This record gives sequence, structure tokens and C-alpha cells, in this order.
Amino acid sequence: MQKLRVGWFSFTCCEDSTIIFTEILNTYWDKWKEKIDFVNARVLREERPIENLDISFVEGAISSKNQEEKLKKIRENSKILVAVGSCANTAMPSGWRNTFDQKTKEEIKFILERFSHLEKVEPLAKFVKVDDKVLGCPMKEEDFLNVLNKYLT
Amino acid sequence: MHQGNFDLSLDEITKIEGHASLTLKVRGGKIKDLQFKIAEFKRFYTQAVRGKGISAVPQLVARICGTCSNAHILCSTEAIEKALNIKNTPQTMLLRKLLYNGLIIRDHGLHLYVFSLPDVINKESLLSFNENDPIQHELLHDAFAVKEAGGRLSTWAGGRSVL
Repeated sequence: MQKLRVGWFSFTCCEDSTIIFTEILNTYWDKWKEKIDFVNARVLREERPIENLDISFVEGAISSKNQEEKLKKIRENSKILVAVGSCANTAMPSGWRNTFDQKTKEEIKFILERFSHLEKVEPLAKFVKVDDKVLGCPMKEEDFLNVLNKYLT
Repeated sequence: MHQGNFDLSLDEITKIEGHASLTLKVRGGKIKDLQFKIAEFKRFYTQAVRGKGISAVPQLVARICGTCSNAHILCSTEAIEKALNIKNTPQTMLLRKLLYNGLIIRDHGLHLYVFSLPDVINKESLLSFNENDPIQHELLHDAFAVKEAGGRLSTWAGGRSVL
């Protein structure tokens, strides 16, 4: 049986769902080892090309043009793209700066310019088609398993 | 050990928490230049907490880091309690200590087994360990058992593994 090719990617966030993902492996690694190949997962292994993925789980909001381009590359190379956690789905709480008043926006402006931030922090769906969602901050373990199990035969 | 001249560039360092890159320049066997760059985008929590209700702050700043959110939530709670001169019962302090110890066990397990150990035994990932090798088999199963123990302790004492 061909293994499901899965990617796990993180953009601007606290990576709490990554930690939940590594916790879920405590219980499920043994069951999944014959069924899933975690091809891309920076927390677990060396960098590999992003190509031919069955499912990509993407956490975090988009803060820069480079992140936007990487997200589009993940989309082009994934049959299913799942937005994981609050930041990926709503841009919050990583996008607090979107809500700042004018005075606070002025205060942080030099940092945004210096490090090429986008004008606003955006959820994934602003740039790419999102096929499925796992909500929560961090993601709910049960919801992640439900989404993954939909595609595990 | 490398001798002579070479340049090394890692755009994205793997098996760490967060995003970082590294460039290294070696000349005559000596490091001439080393740049470690944190590639995270700022989320401006310092500004975001201004004007928020004091009871909302611990949960808000917990999202500074998903790895050590339990430490952030406990630290900010303690800061608020000191500001308001709130005294806790010994039971509360004990539960917090257990919650924190759960984080230490889980996080040290992650660093030791998932981030560092593959390099020690020349594997690119914990997931590449050979289960037919008795030592690698034991280490792989220890990794998940240790992390699980820490997570369970935090869940028991604080309700969730990652607050």
C-alpha cells in the first residue's frame, strides 16, 4: 500500500499546534508508520523539496511576501490543504497589529518596513484555496484526527 | 573536524522550535564570520496587551510561544498576583509546580529525543530510526513515552498539555 504523503508547515504563529502534533505522535506513531510518510515537517526532519503531497497541514498566519509565495508553492504541490489553528484560519492572535490604533501603528511602522512585513497579517484563505480546517488555539487533537482520518484509507 | 576554507548556509534550520537561519564562513580552519538569524515575524504582544483587561492577559501572552505557553501563562499570572497582592493556597502552588514540571519533562523529551538524538546516531530524523535495531527501537519508544508522561502530568494538573 502506498503511504499517504503528508506535509506540516508553519508560518507566523506560536507553533502550539506543532507541539500538539508531536504529542499526538506519542500515541499514533506506531499506528501510522505503515500508512503515513511525513515528508515535510521541519520540527521532525531535515528540509526536503515540497513536491507531490497528498495533504499539507499549514499553521500560522501570513506576514510577508516570501511567506505568501511559499504558501502558494505548498498549495500547488498539495492535493489537500488544511488550515490548522486560529492564526491560519483567522490571522489572530498573530494579527493583533491589524487592530492597532493609528498611534500604535506609527510606533511599530519602522519594524514593519525594516523587515518587509505585509501591511496586514492575513489568514491562508486570503491567498490560496483551503480545503479543510482544524480550529483551536492550539488545535483540538480530536478535530485534527477527524480531518486526517478522512483521507487515511 | 573541517579544515581549510568553506562557507555554509542554512536557510532554514530544522529540528528546532521556531524559524532561524545560519551562515558560516571558515578560513584557514577558523570561523571568520557567523550569523545566526531569527527569521520570525514580530507579533507585537507588548503593544497588544495595552488596555486589555488584566484577567485576559495570561491567556493572551500564552500565545507568545506554543512550546512553553505553560511557562508564559504561569509567569504572567504570578506578575498580576504580585501587583494585586493576591496570596495563593499551598495546594494552588503545588498544582502549578506540577503543571510546570510536566512542561519541563515534555519539552526536554522533545529536545533530547526529537531534535538532538538523530544527529548523535547519524539519522536525519527520529522517524528514520531502525526498529529492528534494539537500541534504536528502545530510544524511539522511550521518546514517545517520556513526552507522553510530561503531557499527561500537565493535563492532570492544569487541564491541557499546551495551555
